[in-house]
Amino acid sequence: MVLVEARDLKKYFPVEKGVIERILARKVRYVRAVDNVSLEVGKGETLALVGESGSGKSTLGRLLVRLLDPDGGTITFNGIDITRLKGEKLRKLRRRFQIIFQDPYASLNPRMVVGEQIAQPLTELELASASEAKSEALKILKSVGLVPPEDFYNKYPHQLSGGQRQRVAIARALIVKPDFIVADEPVSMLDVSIRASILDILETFKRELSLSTLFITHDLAVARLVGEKLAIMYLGKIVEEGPTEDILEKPLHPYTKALIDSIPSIRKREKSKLGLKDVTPDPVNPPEGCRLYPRCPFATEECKLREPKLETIKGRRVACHYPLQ
Amino acid sequence: MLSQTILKYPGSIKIAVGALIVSIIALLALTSPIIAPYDPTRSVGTPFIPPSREHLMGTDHLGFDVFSRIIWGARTVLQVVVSATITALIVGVTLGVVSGYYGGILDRVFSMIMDSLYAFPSLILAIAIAAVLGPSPYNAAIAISVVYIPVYYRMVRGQTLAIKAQLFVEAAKASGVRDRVIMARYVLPNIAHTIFVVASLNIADAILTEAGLSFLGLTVSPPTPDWGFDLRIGQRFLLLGYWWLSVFPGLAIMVLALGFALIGEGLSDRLQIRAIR
Amino acid sequence: MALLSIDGLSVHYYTLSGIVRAVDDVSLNLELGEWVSIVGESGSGKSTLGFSTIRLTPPPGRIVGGSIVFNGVDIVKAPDSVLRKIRGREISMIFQDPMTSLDPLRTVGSQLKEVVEDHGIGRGKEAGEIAKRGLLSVGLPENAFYSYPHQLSGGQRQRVAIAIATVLRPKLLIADEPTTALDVIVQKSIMDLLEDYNRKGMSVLLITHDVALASERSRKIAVMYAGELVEFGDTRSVIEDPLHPYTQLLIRSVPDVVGEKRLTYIPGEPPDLRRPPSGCRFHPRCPFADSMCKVERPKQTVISGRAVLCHYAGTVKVRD
Repeated sequence: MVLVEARDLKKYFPVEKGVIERILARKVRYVRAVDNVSLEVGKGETLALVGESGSGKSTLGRLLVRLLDPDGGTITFNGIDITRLKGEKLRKLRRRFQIIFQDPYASLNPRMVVGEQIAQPLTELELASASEAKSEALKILKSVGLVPPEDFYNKYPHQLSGGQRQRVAIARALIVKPDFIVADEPVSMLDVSIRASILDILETFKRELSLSTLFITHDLAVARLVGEKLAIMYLGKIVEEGPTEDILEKPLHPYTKALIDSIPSIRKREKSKLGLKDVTPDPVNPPEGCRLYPRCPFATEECKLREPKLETIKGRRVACHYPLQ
Repeated sequence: MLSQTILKYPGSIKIAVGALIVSIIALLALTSPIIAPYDPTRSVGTPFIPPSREHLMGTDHLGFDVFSRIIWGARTVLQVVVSATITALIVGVTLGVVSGYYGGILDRVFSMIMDSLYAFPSLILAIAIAAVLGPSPYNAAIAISVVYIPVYYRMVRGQTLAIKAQLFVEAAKASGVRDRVIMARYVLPNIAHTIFVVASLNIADAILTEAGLSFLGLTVSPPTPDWGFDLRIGQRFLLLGYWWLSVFPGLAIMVLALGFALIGEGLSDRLQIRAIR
Repeated sequence: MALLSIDGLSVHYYTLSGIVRAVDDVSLNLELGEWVSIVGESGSGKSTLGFSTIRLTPPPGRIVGGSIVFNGVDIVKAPDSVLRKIRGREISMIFQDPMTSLDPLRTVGSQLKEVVEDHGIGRGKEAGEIAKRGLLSVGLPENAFYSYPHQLSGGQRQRVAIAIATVLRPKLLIADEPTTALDVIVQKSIMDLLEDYNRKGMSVLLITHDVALASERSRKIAVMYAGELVEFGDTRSVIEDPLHPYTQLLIRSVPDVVGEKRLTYIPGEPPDLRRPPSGCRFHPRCPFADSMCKVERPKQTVISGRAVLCHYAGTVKVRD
């Protein structure tokens, strides 16, 4: 069953310009951060969304929890259209969907004890009284491994390490028992030796709450650990989507293959390594046909002229005129 | 040990000296009935007695004791300036946070009003308002607070814009926290330290404005003791050689302003170091 | 004789809140033409070690002991004038953010030309030609010569930084997390470029948090933990048969796109180096720690050509 569904979602950010340019140029130019993206996250399912910087993956995540207003398309949550939801109605619905950010140093209020920050969503959404919220906060502190919880409750963020702060952020997002969370690169700022402990906590909650997750990451190896399904994003568009192991085993899109081949691995891999040209795509003026064609070694005239559509091949969706065999 | 503390808490010398000055003057104001040797509103000797053992700072043209008037005058200046600053702070900070947080038309209207107020030289604006309202300590306080509201507003609005862009505000919003709670618990505490710096630097300025107003006779009516007023009167006799009539009130104004300015500078030194760390 | 030989190096930071023992008694050798990677997590002292190698320890840090001998010169004791000649000409460095070594207001070409002229390799037109060749050799198009840094992508800027660092043909390049801010596809091409230089004889000291990256590129790996060098040896043997418990656990916690899926982590957090743990610094997180590890500091032991800092080196093994 589908919990979250996005259809043709768009988000265009106007480009900041200098004063003279603003006077001379009439047309406002846009960065098409998310451009006609459709995706689904099923109940209890984790979809790993992988992309490089500037691919629009974080924007997509923020759109789904309505921290940004979409410029087009629809978002449906559990059958309810939440695309244009506003004000108090939107705030009340926030109990159902939450977000965890990448930077645990910036996502906590430096001047409030962490316990209070964890308890606050409960009281603010009128789900518990102040004293109930406090005991709930202590409970969840314990389950994210911050023991003894009484000690951690009264600490300020600067007294905690990065890993501990990320645990706090997770506790704050999950204390309201949401149905869906967006985890926006939750471990990429943490050291590798403690990464898995954070993923472990998310995994436990996922099972307990039958949580649906959109796990955003730039690291395919992490994506592989968390997501049954995988979506690869490039320049505002999804280029490939399907079951994680299938894609890693046999990528169909050249970009996906280049991504897999570029990841350093401690295990020996003997494979043809596909490289892409180091051309920076301009997100304001993306290539007209396929967005990858200036970098793709297989590009033809057709790729330059015609944009490939996401089409279903072998149980996955691929946007390429010449999918790899 | 001491040098370590100073290194660790830069600005602490400035803060200590400033606080000492301000608290001595505040103490004078609180205890003026006890420590002032004479009634400041009655002639207690012949006019123009130079500083002596009976009259530490001499007497003025009416035979009032200058020392007693200085001590009682501390009350006037502190009452007017402190109440004006608190008013300006509350109004300016509230409007600044709301305006910066919500943005939109509300923000534009407030910003326009505040900018136009800010465009006036502060003393001239205060004089104009006080003149329209009529001379009284209350009106002087109102005039001074109106002058300084834009200072707080602009600073707080700018800071609010910066804090609003921080991830923790977005995170709070995403977790369902109400806007007014975000303003009160997320924005305000994170700009409070700058507000204190600006406030203490501002009080120093407000003291000079108050002195300016009373110099023009726009705060209290004679013979209520008031430093600015006494300075103006005393200045007339300066060329006749009766320097003590104006020098002592002038010094008092200077020292009090210096006290607050030191506190403000010390606090800002400390903040800058914190920012670097 | 080794090109670079670090012996018993200790670097401390004298902060207001105490002395941070960022690098403690570290010894390391690098042969001419070799690629050595220093791997460690944040706060392990790997970057401090890198900077100290050319005596650019950031204040309030100070080298408090040991020696660094490069090509016969003791860098720790060398006079500034000697050091200036070594830096840039014999040892150069690139950083995570290439903008630290680029001037945003001048074209890439003029900056590269300046380096050439400053070191008296060429003048005027000739210097320009050398600079242009330098840009081509790092894989940049010719017109990059007239570009300003902000007109280039992150990967291209790092290429410029590499061009500047290598134009004088140094013997050793220290690369401090050069690809951490870049996407993986670009990372690969930058690493390929460094590998080219390495093949042509330039030694590389790569400082990175990425064990997998180090394992793919380097001859030898040095693993740092809490300011100490816990294991140092040939890459393949370190990766395939790690001897130190920290290395064993670290390698197991690296996620991979191939092989079995597992979620392994090291419990606890790295220590505060103002108050490092007694005995072995890894003992609070080590599954094999006993009373001796708590009290006695392990000495470096060499087992089949590998230096390991553990009381039980070679006898303990983390099991699945």
